[in-house]
Amino acid sequence: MKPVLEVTNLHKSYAALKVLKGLNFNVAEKETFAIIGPNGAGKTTLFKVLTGEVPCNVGQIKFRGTDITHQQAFRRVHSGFGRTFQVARVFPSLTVAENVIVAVEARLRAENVRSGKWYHWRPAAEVRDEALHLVADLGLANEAEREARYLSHGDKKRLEFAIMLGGRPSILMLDEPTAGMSPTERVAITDLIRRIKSERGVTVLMTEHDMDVIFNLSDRLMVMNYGEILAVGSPKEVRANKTVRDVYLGQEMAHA
Amino acid sequence: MADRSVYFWPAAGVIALIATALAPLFANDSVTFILGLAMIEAVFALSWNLLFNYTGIASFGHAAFFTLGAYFVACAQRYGWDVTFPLQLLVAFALGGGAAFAIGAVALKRASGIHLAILTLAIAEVVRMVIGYIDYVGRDDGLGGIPRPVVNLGLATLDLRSSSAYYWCILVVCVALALGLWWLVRSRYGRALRSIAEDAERATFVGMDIYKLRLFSFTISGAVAAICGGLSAPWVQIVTPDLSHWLHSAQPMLNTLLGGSAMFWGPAVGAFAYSLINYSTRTLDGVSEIVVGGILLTIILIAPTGITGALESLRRKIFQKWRAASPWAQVRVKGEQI
Ligand SMILES: Nc1ncnc2c1ncn2[C@@H]1O[C@H](COP(=O)(O)OP(=O)(O)OP(=O)(O)O)[C@@H](O)[C@H]1O
Ligand SMILES: [Mg+2]
Repeated sequence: MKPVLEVTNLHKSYAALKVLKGLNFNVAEKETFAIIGPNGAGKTTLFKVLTGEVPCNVGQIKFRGTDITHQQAFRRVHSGFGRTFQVARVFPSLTVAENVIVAVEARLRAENVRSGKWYHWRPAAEVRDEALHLVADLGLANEAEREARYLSHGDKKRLEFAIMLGGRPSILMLDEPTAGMSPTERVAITDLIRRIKSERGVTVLMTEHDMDVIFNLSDRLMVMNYGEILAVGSPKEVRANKTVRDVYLGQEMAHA
Repeated sequence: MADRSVYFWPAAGVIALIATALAPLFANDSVTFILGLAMIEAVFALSWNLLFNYTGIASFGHAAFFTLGAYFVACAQRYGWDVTFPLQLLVAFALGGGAAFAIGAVALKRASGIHLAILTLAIAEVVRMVIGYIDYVGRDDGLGGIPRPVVNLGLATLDLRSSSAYYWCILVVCVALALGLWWLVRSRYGRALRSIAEDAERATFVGMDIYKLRLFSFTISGAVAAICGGLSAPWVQIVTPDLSHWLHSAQPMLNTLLGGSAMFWGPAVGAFAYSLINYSTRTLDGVSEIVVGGILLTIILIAPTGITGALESLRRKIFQKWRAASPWAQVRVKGEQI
């Protein structure tokens, strides 16, 4: 099968600091591709380059066969990118429902779909329904009217998922979706990701420090260290890899 | 029990509107004149706050657009151009929008935050200096003796030469503009703009073309500011390059700070409050500036969210026990509105 995402010779540096040093990898349709590595390995930077938040210095990114290396971030969103951030980012003074409505309306604007009469200031019924459905689906129904700033960390993360799904993405980029969460919340988010995958048939790219989450979800793993790829393969293969054990998986493997 | 206090703002608005509308019948000429100016400054401030609060752009040179509209209408009236007054206002709107679009198309691509603020400030100063060199518009002295318009409506004519007639004309146009802006910020475009104001980069990742949306907002804001200028010229009956002075660009900021930026009508309330403070201290010869400054400073220190912010939190505090659904909310959940 043709890969969804093809990354060739990707370089990124911040001034003199080389953060990504020539990455090559492919992500296949509908797989869960996890990126792991120690702090500062360059995982978030890789996500930023892939989503268009920062430009790369050298290299090429292809999405479904098209070169998107120099495409603006919002256009990548239009073509199917969805993203959550390492530290959850929502629109704090909009209500939970409005947060998602804004995302749905942005998608409709990009698709040139007219929703409701132009002079109506309330969101169209179908927009509202879709947004509230997502809000409820992520377990935030009781929070729908609250301003997003008052949400707990875990709920902010859920809202971020709802905002992302409002754009109907085909590839999700999740930067440490369970960072800073309690063990129960981690399980809940893991289940959520699995459910989104099975319901929507999306491709998932994620980074994570929690090995339980990783080995639970991922089809393939990529291990990064200092901006280089140490190993790529199935969780089993990666576990068996000697270098990876030495550099990163050392203690985590003991109880994984 | 439903929270009746949500009717506080609409009721206050209606009362204020009626009082303003009836003012020429009771008030003396100078009060009427100041109220007319306050209405114009109120809408000017609302247009500035469309950028500041609702889009997250600080413009320090908003008076440039005001000046553009004012000079166009001033020339048209003074030199008797064959353009009827309503059309003059529309042209002012288009000129302001066009100028804002041209400036925004370049500036918003390159600059944001403090850079954009300084850039707009510089543009307004350039406008002021350029006007000062043009003979046709009276150089540094400006254009005086601008006649108020008589509008020919085919069958009837609308004579706006009297002070009260023109006052009501200002009222109608200002209310229309304010309601237009109010609709805009509550519409889906307003929601998009608000999310950009909150976190522009985040908005990019829900697929918003923030450059385009910001440019849209900048254009509308400039267009409305230019109409305000156009309205002001026949009212004050003189235009000078100082309309584009940075002090005039600071006026909508001050009004917004005073009235509160978070509520839509805050800047308008601020404009009237500022006029009131100015008017009531006018007899304090020599020290009036200091007194005005002192009062403003006190209000802003006591109520950092402005007059409307303070009143709103008071309303919420008093009516806490009835925190129920508001009939003004935009989104309903399970039949209730939020
Ligand atoms: N904007 C920036 N300017 C300069 N250096 C940066 C910037 N962002 C990241 N870095 C550096 O790039 C390196 C990689 O950072 P990155 O955030 O990609 O790591 P990470 O793998 O996501 O780490 P973590 O697991 O802690 O999230 C780090 O050394 C970091 O200090
Ligand atoms: Mg990271």
